[in-house]
Amino acid sequence: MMDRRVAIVAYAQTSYESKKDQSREMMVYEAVRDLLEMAGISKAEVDTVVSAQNDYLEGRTISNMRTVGPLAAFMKDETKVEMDGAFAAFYALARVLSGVHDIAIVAGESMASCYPAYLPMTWTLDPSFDRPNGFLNEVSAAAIQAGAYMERYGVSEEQVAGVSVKNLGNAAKNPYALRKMPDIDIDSVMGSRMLYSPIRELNAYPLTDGACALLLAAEEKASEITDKPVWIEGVGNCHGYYHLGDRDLAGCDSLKTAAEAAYRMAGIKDPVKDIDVAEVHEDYSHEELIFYEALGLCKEGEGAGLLEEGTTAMQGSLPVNPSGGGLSANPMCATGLIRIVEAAMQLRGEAGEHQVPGEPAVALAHGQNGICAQQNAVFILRR
Amino acid sequence: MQDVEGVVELSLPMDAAFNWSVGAYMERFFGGFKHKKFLGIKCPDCGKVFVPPRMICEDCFAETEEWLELGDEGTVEGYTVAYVKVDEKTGGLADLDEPEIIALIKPEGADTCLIHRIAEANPEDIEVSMRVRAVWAEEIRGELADLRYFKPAT
Repeated sequence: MMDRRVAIVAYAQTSYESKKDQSREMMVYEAVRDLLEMAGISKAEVDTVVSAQNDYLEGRTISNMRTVGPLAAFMKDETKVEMDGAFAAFYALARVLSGVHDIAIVAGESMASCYPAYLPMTWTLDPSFDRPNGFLNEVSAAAIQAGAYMERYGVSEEQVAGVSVKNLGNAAKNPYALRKMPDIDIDSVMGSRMLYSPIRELNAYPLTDGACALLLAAEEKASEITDKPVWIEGVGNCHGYYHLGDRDLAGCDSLKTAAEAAYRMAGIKDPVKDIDVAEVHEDYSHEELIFYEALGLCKEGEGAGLLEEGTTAMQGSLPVNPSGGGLSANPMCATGLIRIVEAAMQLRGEAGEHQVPGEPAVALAHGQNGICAQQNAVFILRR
Repeated sequence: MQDVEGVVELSLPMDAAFNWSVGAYMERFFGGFKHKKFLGIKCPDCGKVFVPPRMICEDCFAETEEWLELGDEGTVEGYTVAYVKVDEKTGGLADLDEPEIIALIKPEGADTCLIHRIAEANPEDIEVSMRVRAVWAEEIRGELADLRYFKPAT
């Protein structure tokens, strides 16, 4: 239980199309301007700002120095995380829970059209062995993980492709999504360019530009801002092994631990029954299956079964990634925050064409950091 | 992502050299290469044997001190066949001329894996739990480049 109730009271996303004709500052400004407009408050009413951005993705040291203006953070309490936006939301929540602040802006952003694609993640690698060897990068690591998972549980490439079919099909109904594929089928995934076996282009996230923002408010302020607050009822955050060779890649222990902490805080006893809709941050299709298992939505090795029986489909009993997830758009540092925003949109009944049926009351949102999801954050939201 | 035409771009290369010391443990690990051996290190609390060696066991928050000689053979714990590589200039995924096998290899006696490549083998012949052996450079210097690749141990 938390000492203070904190709610998501507004949200904003930019489109995830290339923003190369726009400056980074205007991209961030657009998201924060829309956020404050939705909340109907001015910059003056904001107490604290936490952003998620990364120096190596910006090409600028202490990158938030430049985004103070567009973040509406000038002359305010401000900080950033060099991680996914879900962790920025985590810190913003803690700032509001402290009682020092009542209203917090959280924003995450990056522009893949500006940074050198897959290089920045290789700079996270151990500089004495993995990095100079040059074999490991985020895609080859994910491929080794996919292979280890599929080998352990006898999962086929076609079964894994089912995640891409579900998510990219869902994305067709999400106006913000970058990769919309209404006609996608298993064959289109299996026929896409092979990168690192078993990962093909449509098993992997698209390089993306974009920004996302949400507004947190303490209970007394929340009711002034909106009549549809989305309460943060539980959170968990857990960081696993750094070295890929130390991990059991067929599972995700750090997500399991983060989920258990969030469930405990929110009083979730049976996640499949108690949760109505989930948004998870998958960078690669096999990850979503591993995440089902780590989140306790099914037993270990049964992720593909859960997908195939339709439980996680848009019309299923527990839709996962009705937005299309990370496979549909993945602006680094924003993707996990987008999951929280999308989950809140579902609870408010504001997801439009990709709104899940049944008026969901409880949602799960997940963000991750690092190669093969080294660090994980889980949020439980309730309307 | 679609390309946007007609945008004024500035190229801002960041060519900065960071001179990391590999640390005493990795120095000793590379020293082991001179004898064509992997050196592992054992956690005094949980007994886990790490390779490459590291100074602290993350599980136990304990300093590691006990060195072990692990030979140069191991088993494949996972792998991928690479058809692309990260282009060092653009960061994009560029096609490889020949596919390359990248594997998670657990040296005999270790509890963790190294990531390296397997050569002298066809991708279709690689299997999880097959044994592989290190192939060393002709002239060994006690450095990273001494370990050229792994090949199936017959």
